[in-house]
Amino acid sequence: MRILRRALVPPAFLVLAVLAQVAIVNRLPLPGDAVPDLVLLVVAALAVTGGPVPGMLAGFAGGLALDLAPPVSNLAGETAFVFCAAGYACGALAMHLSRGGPDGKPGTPDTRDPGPPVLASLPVMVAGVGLAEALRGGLGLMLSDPRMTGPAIAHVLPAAVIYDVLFSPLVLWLVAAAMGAAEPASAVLGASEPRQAPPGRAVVRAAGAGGGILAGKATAVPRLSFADTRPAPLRAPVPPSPRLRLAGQSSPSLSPAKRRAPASSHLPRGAGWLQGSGGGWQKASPGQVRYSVRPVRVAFGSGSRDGSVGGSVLGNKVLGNGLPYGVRGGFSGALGPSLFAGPDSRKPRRDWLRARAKNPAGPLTSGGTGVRLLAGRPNGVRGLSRAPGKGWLQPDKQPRRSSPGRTSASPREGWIRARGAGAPARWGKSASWSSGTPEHRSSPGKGWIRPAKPVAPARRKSPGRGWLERKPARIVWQAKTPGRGWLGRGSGLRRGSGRWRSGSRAHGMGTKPLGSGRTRIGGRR
Amino acid sequence: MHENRRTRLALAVLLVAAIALITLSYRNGGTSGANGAGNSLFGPVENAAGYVTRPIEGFFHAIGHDDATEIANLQAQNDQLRAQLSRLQLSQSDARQLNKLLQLNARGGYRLVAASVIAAGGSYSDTVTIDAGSKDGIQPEETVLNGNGLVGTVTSVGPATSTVLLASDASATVGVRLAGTNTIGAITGTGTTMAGGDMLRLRLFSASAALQPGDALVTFGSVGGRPYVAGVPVGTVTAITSQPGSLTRTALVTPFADFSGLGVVGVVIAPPRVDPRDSVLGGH
Repeated sequence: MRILRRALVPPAFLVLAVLAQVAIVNRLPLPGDAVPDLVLLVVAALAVTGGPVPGMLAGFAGGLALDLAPPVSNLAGETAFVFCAAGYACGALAMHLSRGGPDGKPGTPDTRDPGPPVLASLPVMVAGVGLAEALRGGLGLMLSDPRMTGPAIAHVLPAAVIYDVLFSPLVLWLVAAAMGAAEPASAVLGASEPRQAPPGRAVVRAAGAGGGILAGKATAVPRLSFADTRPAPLRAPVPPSPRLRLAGQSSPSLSPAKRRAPASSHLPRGAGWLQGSGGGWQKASPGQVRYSVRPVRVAFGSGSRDGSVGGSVLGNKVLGNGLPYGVRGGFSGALGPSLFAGPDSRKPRRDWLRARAKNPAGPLTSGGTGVRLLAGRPNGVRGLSRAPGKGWLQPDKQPRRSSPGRTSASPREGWIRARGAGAPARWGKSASWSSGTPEHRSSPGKGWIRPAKPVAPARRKSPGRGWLERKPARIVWQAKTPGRGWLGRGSGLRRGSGRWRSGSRAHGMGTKPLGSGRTRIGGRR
Repeated sequence: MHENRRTRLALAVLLVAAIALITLSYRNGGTSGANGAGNSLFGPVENAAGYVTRPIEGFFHAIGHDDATEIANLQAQNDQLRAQLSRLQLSQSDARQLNKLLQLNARGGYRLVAASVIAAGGSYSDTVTIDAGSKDGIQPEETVLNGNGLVGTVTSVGPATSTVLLASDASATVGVRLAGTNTIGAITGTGTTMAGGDMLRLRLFSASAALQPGDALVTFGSVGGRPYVAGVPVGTVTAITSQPGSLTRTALVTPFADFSGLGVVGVVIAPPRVDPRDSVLGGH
């Protein structure tokens, strides 16, 4: 259904916008001799909620439709050119901003007021629309359109931009509402549906996974909770290593030649994006030192095509609204994944849930460990994985228990990194690439954090009020011996200090109260 | 990185395609096969949408023109043609009968095809789409008028829709003649360059011609009645703008037709056998 929506909503909006534009809006006797451009607004709204690719496709299609729909008033292709560029610009800018700024400065999303998310991308949309109007005038000038002379543009442009700006919130709201289910994690982009999660309460839930609730107390606010789960024990990594992996639902292989096919997830596919399964991850090569710890991967998927995976659930149902702490969703809208990626071709890319250490007081922080979850938008494009960008989960406190003697393998990209005194302050992209060599890319096998029992759908509970908030929840982990092949530590680790491997602690984790001051995602450090 | 490259490649492809379309359509002088395709594709849809949107447009137009004096003026301008066109507006079923009456009774002897405006162009252009096309016998470059006066000319025709370039468009030029004289000139639309719009700019070809506000203009007529037939009322001169010593006399003309509130229009599918001269002006 969601796929259907992704495929049908944008064309439907464009067709309606074109018809309304030529049949109604253009005939309105509005002052200023200008009218709002509904098609441009729809294109911009689709772009900011969907990303650059859906944006430019919608722009080209909508512009071409305006160029061809009688009455034709300009050269065919003019509007398509302008709208295509505008759609791309809006989408790219919105995506860029949703990632937390150019340098990935921590705190950018955290300081953002949760506010009505639908308005978060409004400035981008307004800027894109204004630029598009200007570009259209400029193009008309260049083409010597007798109607678009300098005085005419000077007369029309301000009024047109004003009308566009006035209509922007309405169009954006409509598009976001219609695309709501189609875009998983664009929480910051405001594609959420308000009813799904009360604002101010971010609920990260591992749908379908039988899991404990990771909820912080009010002070130790790790509101990362695995909702929708029952408090059944999760099997957790024995030595808790903070590898919060925001991975795709299934990432078949980064390089097919070297990686094995993903194992099937232990979680119901499509249900949980908190996925402990190792589907798609590669086992370490034999020569590598293996961690005894299995990282927990929280997979913010871009959503597989069944629509219920990962980001989809995250973005729409849960994170969609007001993520106070910068859990942002990432997915690109309707067109992205469905156009460019096969269902299983996605793999974790940058922008997966990542935590940052720079903001100790951040909402996800408990006990001073700032963990920020940032789910960017997985674009769903196949290809090499990208280097983990800035801002991966970095606990900035030194792990209390770490075996210093061992060198840790550098986490693969996308893993939560602990940053401490001994660790490099930050992983640069180059560093990430270096750690991305195949031998270092060993990844946890399947079986992490999985529900002990399948969760009956009836037990799902919507994150209504009272959920996860201020309840010191307990997470119950079942100790499990890590299988082999987990996260081998490569011999050539250049980065990373001991905190990545907590291999020596194989003791099981009993019931562990969370909210004790640390964000524990998948383990304790 | 990878997807960025791919995205940018796709963007470049789309932009190049758009530019190619622009050049193709530019070479054909603004009309290309694509326009015909657009007419066929969007015409029926717009036709259908017109039934839905007509009341909406009428509502807004009524709001915008809720002015007692204007209503009085409009009523004063009721000539026979307008009365019948108004009746046509009320009832689609009367269209054929009214059309016949129009053909018989129009002062100028024009043969008209009545049509309704169903869509309009964007901010920069003064173009409209009417719900009559080649199936109704309309061909390009036929004059369009309504009960008040000249509206424009047909630029492209689809099966069921036609595009009309209004006389107020900046790219439209109409040959006119001062009523009662043989002084000729041309009017050009001012497009959107002027606040208050809907003014036409008159340029008389003679520098010594007598011109004063209040003079009425009718179309001079083109060869074969295309794109403009002769004798259609255009407007009245409201302000002389020519500078002393200039080679031509220029003035601003207020058109008889209200270009922002077009409803029912008629397309002249056959010019009168003889030039009606100023007879059609009688209503004004």
